[in-house]
Amino acid sequence: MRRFFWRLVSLLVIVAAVTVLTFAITEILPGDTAVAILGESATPDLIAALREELGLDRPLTVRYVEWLSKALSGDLGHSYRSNEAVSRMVLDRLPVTLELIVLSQILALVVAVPLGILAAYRVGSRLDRLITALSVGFLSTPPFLLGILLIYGISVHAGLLPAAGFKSLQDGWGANLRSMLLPSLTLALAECPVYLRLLRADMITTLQQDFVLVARAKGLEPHEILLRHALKLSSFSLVTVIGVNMGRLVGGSVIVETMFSLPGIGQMIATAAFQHDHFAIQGVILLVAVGFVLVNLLVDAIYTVLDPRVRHALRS
Amino acid sequence: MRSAASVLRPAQERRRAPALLWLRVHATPAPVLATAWLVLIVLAAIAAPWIGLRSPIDGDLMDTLTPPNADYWFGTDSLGRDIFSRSIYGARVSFFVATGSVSIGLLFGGALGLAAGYFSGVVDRIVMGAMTVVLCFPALILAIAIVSNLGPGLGNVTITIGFLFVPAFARIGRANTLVFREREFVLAAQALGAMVPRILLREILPNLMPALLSYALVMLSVAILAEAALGFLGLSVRPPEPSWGGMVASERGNLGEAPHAVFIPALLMFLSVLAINILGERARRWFDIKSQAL
Repeated sequence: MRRFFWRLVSLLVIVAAVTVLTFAITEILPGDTAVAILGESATPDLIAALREELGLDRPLTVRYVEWLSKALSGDLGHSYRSNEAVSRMVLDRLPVTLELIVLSQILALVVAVPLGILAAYRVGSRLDRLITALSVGFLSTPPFLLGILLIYGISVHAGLLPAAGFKSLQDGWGANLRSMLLPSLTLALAECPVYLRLLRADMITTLQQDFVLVARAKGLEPHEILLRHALKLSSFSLVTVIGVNMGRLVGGSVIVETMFSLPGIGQMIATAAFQHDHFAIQGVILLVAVGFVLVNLLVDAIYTVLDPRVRHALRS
Repeated sequence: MRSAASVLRPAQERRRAPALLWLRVHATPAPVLATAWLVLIVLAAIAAPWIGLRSPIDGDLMDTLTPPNADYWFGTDSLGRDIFSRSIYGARVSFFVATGSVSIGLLFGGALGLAAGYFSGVVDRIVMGAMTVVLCFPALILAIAIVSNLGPGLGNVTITIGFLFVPAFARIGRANTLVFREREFVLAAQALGAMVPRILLREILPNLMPALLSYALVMLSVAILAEAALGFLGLSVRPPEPSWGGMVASERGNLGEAPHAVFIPALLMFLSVLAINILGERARRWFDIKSQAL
């Protein structure tokens, strides 16, 4: 109970600090929002008028408190470009980004787990070196290059899947999946080597432990040892990394959504940044960061439940 | 399954060999090729204005999207600009941002980590708390937000990416400082009455360098990818100035008829990042640095 209380306190402190940094980035940094919106050639009068309209002429602390209290009640301001409520914009786009992230995580794990186990089992073999080399290669490939390769190979040449254009679930499962497959594959291929390398390294250490020797001595088949004993132990670090990796995925989704023109949060961030849509950026960054903190907390909790070593340490 | 001994032996042998030998080939030519590629592209990038390249900005509109030929080695883009020249100037941007941002991260992150690790207590808590907050943001999202406020441009992109690197370097610096702080030679220096700056700079800092520098090497490739991502979103150098990410973004509409305009800058970026990663992997294995939780 006490532990839980302190967790909650530190969470609140972190979230508060996140709001301060978000505000600081968008408000304190040089670069006048009014000038950014109106363009370099605007007259000083016009700029002053807009600053007043946006409330930019008031002291920082006042604006921070006001911004925070509005944010807490769910009002993140309005996009300067479309005049839409930022919270509405985010909610509308969230499902697309979530689907993209979930699909790509599944794809990445489906590829990474078997290959990682195989590489660790045959460590040092030609197969292991091939898998490791490929994963270094993919790790060096920027997501948008993967995306372009996929578009070029699958859409432009073979004409199998659409290169752009999002179909929502209302258009049917099949159409939706068809439009999401290339984007999620792009993101998955970028994430796959991260998981693979981690699992491989972890499995190699696990396979050197005594209980694996015992399992072998007792005559268990290799696949039983690998899947039932070793993988279970090695998957804990995988779980934590999936949490940390959410940040990479959200970053990657900005690129992927821009490239495949998916109407998700990533595309919203890219457009807002490009158009200097001040309040849209501020709101979306805050939500993404808070979401990221919460996901990591959740992963931490799952980790505690999963790992008997941690669980027992907590109890005693 | 190999025995533990056969897995561990190579690393130990490598550690015994004298420094810098890791550049010498062990079994594969990969590190040599990687070094050669990096030397080539960095030299070309530095010398770009003086080696008689065509203008990277003014194109020949009569000659758009030509595939690579004897005249235009890498072909031309949709505005008839020489892709060879644009790629080299793009490399200039990439490597400037990479070295600049990693230097910023190394300098500030290393200093903060050193201070946090050595003084511990309040200093440690404040510094590492601040770093944790920065790490609460997905890196690329934070970069986009900062650049969108500072405005695009070479300097702003470098500073932004450098800022994002500070926490990682600080963590590594701190973790290693904590180890070396307890060592006898530090105690000896303290007993001899050495001042704190001397202990930090002469006793502890040299021992942090292997970890920090081999990490810096890896971060060079992260920086190149980050710059490319910002360039792709139109947030790196302002067009028409070339950057690899920007070239890919602006030409991807012509993927069907002129794939070279997209794939050549992307390939150069891929090769550079791959080369850095190969060397980084070597360096890390050489210095036996575990990938710390970042």
